[in-house]
Amino acid sequence: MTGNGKAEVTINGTKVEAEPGRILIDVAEEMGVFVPRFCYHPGLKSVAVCRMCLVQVEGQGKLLPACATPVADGMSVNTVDEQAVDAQKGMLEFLLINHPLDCPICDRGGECPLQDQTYAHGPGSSRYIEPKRTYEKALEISDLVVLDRERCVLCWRCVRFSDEIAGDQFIQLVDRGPGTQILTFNDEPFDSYFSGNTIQICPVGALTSKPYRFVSRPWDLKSAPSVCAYCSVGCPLTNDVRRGELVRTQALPNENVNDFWTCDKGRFGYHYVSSQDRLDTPLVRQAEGAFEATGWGEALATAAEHLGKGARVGVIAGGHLTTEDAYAVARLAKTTVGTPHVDSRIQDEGAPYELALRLGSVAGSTATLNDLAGARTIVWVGPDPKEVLPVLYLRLREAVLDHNAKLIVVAPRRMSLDAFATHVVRCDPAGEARAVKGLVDGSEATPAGDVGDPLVACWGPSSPGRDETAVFAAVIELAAAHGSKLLMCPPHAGSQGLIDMGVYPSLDASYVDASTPGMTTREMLEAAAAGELDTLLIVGADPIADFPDAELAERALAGGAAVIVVEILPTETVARGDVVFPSAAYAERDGTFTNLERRLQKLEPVMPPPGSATEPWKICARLAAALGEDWGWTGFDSVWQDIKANVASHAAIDVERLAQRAPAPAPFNESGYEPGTSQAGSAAAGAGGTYPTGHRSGAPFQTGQNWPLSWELRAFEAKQRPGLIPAHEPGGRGSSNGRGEASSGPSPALAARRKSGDPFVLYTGRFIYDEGAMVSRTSALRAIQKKPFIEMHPEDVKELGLSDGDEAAIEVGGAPRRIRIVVSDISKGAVFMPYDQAGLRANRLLKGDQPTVVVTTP
Amino acid sequence: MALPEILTGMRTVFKNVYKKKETTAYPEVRRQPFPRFKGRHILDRHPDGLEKCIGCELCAGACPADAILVVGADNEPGPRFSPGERYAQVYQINYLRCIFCGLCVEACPTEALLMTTEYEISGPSREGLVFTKDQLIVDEPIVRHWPTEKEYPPEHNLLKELEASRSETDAVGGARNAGDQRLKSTAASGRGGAQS
Repeated sequence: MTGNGKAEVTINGTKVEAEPGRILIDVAEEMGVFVPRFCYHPGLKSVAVCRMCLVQVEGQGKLLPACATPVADGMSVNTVDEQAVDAQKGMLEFLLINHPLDCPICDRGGECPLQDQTYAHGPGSSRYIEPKRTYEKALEISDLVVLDRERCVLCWRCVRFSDEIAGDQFIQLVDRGPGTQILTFNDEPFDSYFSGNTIQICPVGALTSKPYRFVSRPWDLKSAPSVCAYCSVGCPLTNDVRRGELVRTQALPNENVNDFWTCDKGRFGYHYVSSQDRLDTPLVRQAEGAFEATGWGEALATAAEHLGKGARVGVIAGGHLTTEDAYAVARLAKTTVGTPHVDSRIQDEGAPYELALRLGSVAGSTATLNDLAGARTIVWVGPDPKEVLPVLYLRLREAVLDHNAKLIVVAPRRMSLDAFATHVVRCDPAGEARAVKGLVDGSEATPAGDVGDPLVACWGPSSPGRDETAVFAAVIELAAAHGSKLLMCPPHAGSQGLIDMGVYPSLDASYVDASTPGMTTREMLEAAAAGELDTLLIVGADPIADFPDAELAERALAGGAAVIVVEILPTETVARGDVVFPSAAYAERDGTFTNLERRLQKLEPVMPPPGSATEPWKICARLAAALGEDWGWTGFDSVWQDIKANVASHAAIDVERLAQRAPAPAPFNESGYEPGTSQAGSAAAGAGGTYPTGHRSGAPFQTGQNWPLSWELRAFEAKQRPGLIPAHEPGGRGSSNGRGEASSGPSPALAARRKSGDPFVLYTGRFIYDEGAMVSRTSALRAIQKKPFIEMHPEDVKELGLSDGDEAAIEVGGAPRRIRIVVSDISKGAVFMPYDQAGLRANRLLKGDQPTVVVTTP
Repeated sequence: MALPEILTGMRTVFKNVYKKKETTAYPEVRRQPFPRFKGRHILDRHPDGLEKCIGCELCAGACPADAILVVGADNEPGPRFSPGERYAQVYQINYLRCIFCGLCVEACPTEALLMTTEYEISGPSREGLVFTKDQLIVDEPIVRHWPTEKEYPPEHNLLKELEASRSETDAVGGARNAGDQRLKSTAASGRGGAQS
């Protein structure tokens, strides 16, 4: 044992120091010794079933599996010992006995750990001449995953992932002995939100992606690291492009954010980028009412004419804008145009993010996702994370099951978290604030010791009509009472960046209180509907689909104000626009997304945008130029110079580090190629090591024949774009504006207030696959979208004389409509309806402060 | 003085004057290339008529000139194109780029892609020199003059399925040029003729 408490281990004759108890395979890998493996995955627990990583440990009679052997002081390991190599060769020969070797038609071919390791560690030929075991090929176990059991090497990775990480065991090993196979149960589909991860971790081509099936070979792909554009967790992704079309996205490991995982929405919801519907040219509405495609000059001049109206201009920005776009929108609106009416909250309209300033110097999270693992207690008051922030759900689950955190869930309906929550507080939709206050003063009975420090309080806006101010104020009170950290979960990839950059009516950039608070989204829409605004600039937002009062949004856009829209797809808002600018999508641009822990992560372009579409910040800069103000922005770097000069909270951000990859282990000599001397390219020295370059793109980051490593190791190599979190200080500003105090008094429970025959309180929330403009462009995800339904309390359903699965009648926009009832654990007197269902948008029903819905027997 | 040099020079001249000429009066006289001359490609079929090409794109991956484009697709249930799951829905060879090195043929795991001895590949337009799948694929399996191990098992006869899809293939395919016709005539007398 060395002085610092580390164990000294000798691996292949080289002495290294490691924490005692670490897994040998990891320690070896860190020093550049690759032990072949199939079942071992750093994100999963070791099972040592594939027997591929057998190594010689001095003093042990038998070979030991490196993935299940902890290092100890004085251990001497030989991974290239004759006996070990012989065992590895033998294991590979065994694994290949039943492997069909249909590599030419296998989607994994070219990036397959089995292929790579057979080249590097396997025997040249097989002695097996008997017929191979066969199964039905290409079994579609869901709309997203195709299973080929012949190729399976029974490593259990998919099974362990479903069990340990996702917690939904749809896939399992069945039968015994030589008939052991991976299957779903009784032809039930593999209906998991995380099924795509099993495709990515499968070390052979047994689980493949249906949307990507036979679309490309890995050596044809051009790849770039990016960040998911859906929710605010901000999973790093790689975007793979073939012939100008985005054909695949995969999760990039980042142990601070997503570990190794991403959800199926992020993984498969990329089709909108290469959609035929993409806007590719500016459109200007002509006098006779039709759109005409014009050049940028004419469109900018028309838009500038409308924007030069000062405070009679309202600006609404959507949650999928990058941090730079957000800064540009804020600067355009607040400085160039000179209007304080700027808001970025659409579905979460009215969510009081600025209340977070009571706790710290930022209107955002003070906790990181890693803090969840170290917490004793986590309090969740927000939407269902599995539907809205799927990878955060995985992190919460990990914190509870692996790190023994106590999870207290406050919610009006049953959510995914209830399955492993320590304590569930079921309240009515208006009672969340009261329930959280009960946790502060102890009146909410929780089992002793559940509420303890360190505590992480999590809040996210969940349903229109919920009194977010009271709920968030109560959560902050809870956090303050425990001196704990806050995880604020705004809904979209860009939401936090928009708040940071001051696309917010009451805050300017860097969380400075705005001198003249502007109108919120709702106030702007009301003003536009009343003719009090001359121009609405809508950047990347679709208020008609997303704003919790579709009718108001429609009236506002038809209300005589000129509507300027910056969008990627033809939404309903675009159809009502007067000037439309085409925007670049996330795979086509530089930029950064700020996730819910305020971590900035960089997007890198992998393909050009369609037509003359371009980044929203560039459009804002052009609009500013058309208004006579030259910002002097030439590219990503110059935008950041401006941000660093003007946004105090981001002044210390090192932009170059965002794109850098930290030192990575040297590429392993896995496929028998020497690093850097691959067939077609030479080596390029980049941040973090030497990368073989390809002859097609020349970019260091590239999959394919010039990259001799399996995806897994490439993923390790790319693991290190850790992102940057701007610093913040503890100590808030106190409740300066006096908001959030009103509803502290007790109010009678909903069930007591509601009389039979009264309308039900409507509670909504997003589901993972909805009718959003982006996600609905993927046909596979559309197919697994749930059919419209509402959730009701069993007694309420009984009172209507109906039962689970029956159809009830509701009224939508004056027209009756039938909808399926799902009986659920929801507070009595409330109805839950998913927000954006196929053919039924909940925002058609949402009106006023207390949205209600009348449910009757059809 | 210079006589020896002149005599040496003239000896070379007279030696070559009576030698057989290497040049021919192309196009009136067309030379028959050696059997393994690497010319224009074809895509072969199995004896049962299915395409040997499985759309694996290994030829495209091996091509040093990036002349080949393959886009794979799933064989739908019903009339199929190739045995197994995958077939080439797009197969193009760009003869403006092809350097006739034959690496694609070596890479082909099913011996679907072969090279004929046809060398007359020129045309009036660039587009016309990007040969598409219907130009490259043969109507009947060719007869090889070398042994092969990679034939599809004859008992796996999908003739019936093929007949249904055949009418469409004929409509778009067919022998477009002399190369295909030559192969067709040899095929008729050989092993592939059994099913015609």
